[in-house]
Amino acid sequence: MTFRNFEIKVENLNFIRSHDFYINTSIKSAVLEKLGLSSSQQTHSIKTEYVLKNISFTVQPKDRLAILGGNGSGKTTLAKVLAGRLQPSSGTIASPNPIRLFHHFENMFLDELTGFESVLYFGQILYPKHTTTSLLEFCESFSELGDSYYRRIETFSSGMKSRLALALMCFDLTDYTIFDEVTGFVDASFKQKFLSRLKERDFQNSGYIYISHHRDEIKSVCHRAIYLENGEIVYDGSIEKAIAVVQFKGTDVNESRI
Amino acid sequence: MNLEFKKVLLLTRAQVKARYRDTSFGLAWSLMQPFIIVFSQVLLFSHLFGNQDSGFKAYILVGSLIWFYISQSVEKTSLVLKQSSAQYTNLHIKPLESVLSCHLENYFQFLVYSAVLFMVVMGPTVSTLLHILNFSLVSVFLFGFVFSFSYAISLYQVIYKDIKYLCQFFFATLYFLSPTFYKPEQLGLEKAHFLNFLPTTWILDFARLSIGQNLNQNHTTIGLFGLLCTVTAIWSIKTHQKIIQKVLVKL
Repeated sequence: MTFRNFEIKVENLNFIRSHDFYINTSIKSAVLEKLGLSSSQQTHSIKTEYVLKNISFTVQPKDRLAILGGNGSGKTTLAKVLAGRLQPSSGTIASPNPIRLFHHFENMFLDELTGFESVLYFGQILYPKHTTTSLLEFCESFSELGDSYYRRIETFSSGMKSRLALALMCFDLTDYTIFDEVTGFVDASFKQKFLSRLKERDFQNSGYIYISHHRDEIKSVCHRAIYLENGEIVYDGSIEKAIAVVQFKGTDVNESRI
Repeated sequence: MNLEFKKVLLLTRAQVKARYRDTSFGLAWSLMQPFIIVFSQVLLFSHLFGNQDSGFKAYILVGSLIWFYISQSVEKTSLVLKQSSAQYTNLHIKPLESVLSCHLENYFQFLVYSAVLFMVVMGPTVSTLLHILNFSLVSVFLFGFVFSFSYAISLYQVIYKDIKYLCQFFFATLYFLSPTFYKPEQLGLEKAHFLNFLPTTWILDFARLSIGQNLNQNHTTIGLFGLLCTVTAIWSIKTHQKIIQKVLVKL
């Protein structure tokens, strides 16, 4: 298996979200505003907000980086911008290869398809260069869904959907990958299995970014962390110190859930 | 095969399989549904309302064929655009690819429907190779037009929710105003003149002329249709560039 060694360089990244399209989304208010007839309260409430502000960091090849921060601190937006899902308002992201992002993955399945069919279709989309047989076999054994693997997704619980999606996403980690709160629905034993997979020898040369609120997960799979507060980086360094910063600030990072 | 195109085909297969699972006729429903509606219209207008004109059945069938294709495409596009949000992130699919996958199913339905129409309704009058070639060209341009139009409208629908209801009203009104049900000569000069200003009239006439007998008219029709397709495609590209970021934030 070959691995790509590359560096991701993020410089002066800003993401500004304008609130105008959240407020004036009706044609009526848009027309009234054009005519100058909109209420002053509504017009004045239109503002811009920095979701990400002056973000700069470099990710070395093999870096296993955690992004920490409270709810609404900009973690997911940063992940989406890095993966190209959103365009930054300003700043640059230099990455020689595309970055994969996994976020809210349990919603990507179509309810009427079985687990097997979902892997068949979506697996080929994700990994076009791999053989379908190896992918199907891996997902069946890794997800541990048993006969449910051949049942429809609509009969799956959120945890079962997550198991299937996690199996699908950790089949091959040679691309730089961002995991955004991916273990929310799975039980402790499967979470350990997934984390072990990340640490497996095969993938030790590939880096990833891990976003989570769980201390044990972050500590076991990452060695460096960035702490975000109101869209700005307030700490970039070792994982132990980052967790200390988080505890000092009294925000999230919980103990593992059982 | 191009990887991007393979991705679109896989998505199409997944969507078709999911949509028609557990139905008695599977994908055939997709083809039967317009036939059933058109059949009831033909029955209603030709027998109950006494329109015994020899070409009326063909006239209504061609009109409905185009109409179903356009209205269903617009409806499905906005639905797919919103429902596939998690796939954009996790499967790294672009909204455009997701929309294209849903259009391929509709286009397949349209082509099969057209072929049946050619064989059953029109019979030997459209059996020449030139007519088939003409209609193929028009259908390709129609695909370009419908795809571009639906995509741009659906992008706007994500931001302006009113557009969904306006579209429903617009399509319903145009459908019953359009000469799908009435031939212009049956309406008198004034009303026919009014109908000529409706975009649906142009689209239906294009389609009718493309399978007509006058070859000069065919070439003009194909040219005009190509122009319509190009203009809509340019509008769609500009719309995409202008609002895709806002749309992606909202999805």
